[in-house]
Amino acid sequence: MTQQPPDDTNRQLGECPHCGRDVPVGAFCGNCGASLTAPAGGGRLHSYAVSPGEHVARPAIISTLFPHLPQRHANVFREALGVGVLIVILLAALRLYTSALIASAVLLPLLYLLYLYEAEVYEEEPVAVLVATFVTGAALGTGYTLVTQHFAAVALSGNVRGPFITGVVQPVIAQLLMIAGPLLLYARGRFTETLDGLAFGITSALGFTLATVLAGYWHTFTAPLVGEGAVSADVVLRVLRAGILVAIVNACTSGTITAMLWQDRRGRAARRRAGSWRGRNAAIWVAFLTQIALGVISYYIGSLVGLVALWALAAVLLLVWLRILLHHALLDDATDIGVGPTSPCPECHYLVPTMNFCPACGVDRQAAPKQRRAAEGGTGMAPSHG
Amino acid sequence: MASQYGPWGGYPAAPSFGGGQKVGRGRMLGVGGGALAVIVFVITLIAVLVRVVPTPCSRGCGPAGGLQVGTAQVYTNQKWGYSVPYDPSVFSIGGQNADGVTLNSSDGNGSIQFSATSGNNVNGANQTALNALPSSQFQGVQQIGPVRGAEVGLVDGQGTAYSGQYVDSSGISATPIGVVIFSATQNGVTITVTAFSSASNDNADGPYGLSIGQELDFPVTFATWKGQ
Ligand SMILES: [Zn+2]
Ligand SMILES: [Zn+2]
Repeated sequence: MTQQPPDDTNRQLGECPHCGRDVPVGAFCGNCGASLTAPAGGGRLHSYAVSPGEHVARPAIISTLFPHLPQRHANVFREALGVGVLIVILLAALRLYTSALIASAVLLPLLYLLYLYEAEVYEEEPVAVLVATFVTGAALGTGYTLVTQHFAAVALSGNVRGPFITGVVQPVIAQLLMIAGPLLLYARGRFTETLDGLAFGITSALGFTLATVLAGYWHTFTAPLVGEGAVSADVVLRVLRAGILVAIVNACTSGTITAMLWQDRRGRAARRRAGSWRGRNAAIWVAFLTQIALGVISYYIGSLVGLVALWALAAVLLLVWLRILLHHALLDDATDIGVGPTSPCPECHYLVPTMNFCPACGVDRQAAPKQRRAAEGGTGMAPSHG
Repeated sequence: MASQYGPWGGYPAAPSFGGGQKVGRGRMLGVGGGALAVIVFVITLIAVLVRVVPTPCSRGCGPAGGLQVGTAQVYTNQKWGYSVPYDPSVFSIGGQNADGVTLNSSDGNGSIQFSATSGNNVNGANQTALNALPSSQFQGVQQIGPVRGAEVGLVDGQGTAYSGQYVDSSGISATPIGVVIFSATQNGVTITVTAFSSASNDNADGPYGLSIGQELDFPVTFATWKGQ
């Protein structure tokens, strides 16, 4: 059960106080992921299982929505996201409002498609995965916008359709449409990891949001240019909210739902937790109730600044919530697979025995890029065929 | 138990650990930046090519509305003593308070609001009305020019026309709109009219880019002041 890695014969084993297994000594238990150096190491809230250098409750976009990226690769995406936001602000400052809005709408979806390519989340089926997630999401988003616009109403005192339709019914329908594509993949059963579900939900949500922004604002792009075009201070806020904050919120709610659905199917510990505060049911309720709360409060908020602040706060809270769920899901997912051969950890680059978690840095091997894990011969991978 | 190996467990660093990164800085700049630029350029280009170019027009272009006064309902304001007639097949009352009323277009295509205050500060009343537009929904509001021939009832007033966008509460659907705000004053009472609707590209029917400009004319023109 605990055969020594051939090239690390001097490596001592010690009993992990959290799971009771004999594991290679290190900063973390390679079997259950517990911190062996921190006093209360079991939950290891100071060390996020995807990116051990970060606290779990840190509202970071890349290490939450792009978990398969090792630190070094994540930096490239982090820089690209930062530069992209600067470009959007610059375009808006130059009064190129249409370009600014399009750039903000395209930024996150484009980065995410590059991420899917970088980490090969789709394994050998890139076309099927992209059609089921991004393309389906975009098509449903376009249809949703065209239908709601058909019944669109503009009015001074509130909205003709009232808070129930615009604040409750529409957000619920939109959320259901955003997870419709990934559910096709769920039914197929080809992809089984929690982080697969996360990636599919986020991809679909970003495709949906991109389509709704482009379709929803299309006739303002083509509307006659009237007025002197005085720079209005609200443009940057409006563009960032429409393109980026809404995308993050939708990605978080959809990713939460699909990640927990996928984890639930892995069975075992997850199914026992389906009813707990971090189980499948709670995740679904939080996602839908957040969308409804945002819809209803947005309906009554009269100030654009207040609206942007509301959505920014929601984005931050949802990112932290998603990280907490993912962190615990990854720790729960660990099954006893023993000690594998020595290989370089994609996160910290130390030569460590291949296990559920890196004994040196504590990263979950599920969060490694998939092609890297395949190259290591599959040991330490979670079973990816159901 | 990790103490004898240090905080990282004393594992050796992997020799020449590199590669495996498909999207490095160069490719991110080339593929990501290039794709962003191309997508933004192409969509912007298409939008500009299909953009409608309006021809200038002032208020009251095109044929006058043909509503029979007899079919109208009348809103009467007790506090300030004015009345506003409206065609119930076109408008319904969307809200009211002591100072005035909001008529919402039945087809959901706009609103007209009457609000009275004491005094004769027309510009101040117009500014108050402009500030009262909720910034979360009325975005990118830009001045077009003065409302020529503005009147409330048969009293001459002054005001301004604006263009902008109406964004629904989901924030993902925006409608181009025209807004006019004007006020008139008589006997120490100032009535302010705020009207908006989805923008019209047809200037014959849509003065100031208001697609329901004609419908708006009727309650404004036939409003009656206290004592009239
Ligand atoms: Zn353990
Ligand atoms: Zn490591």
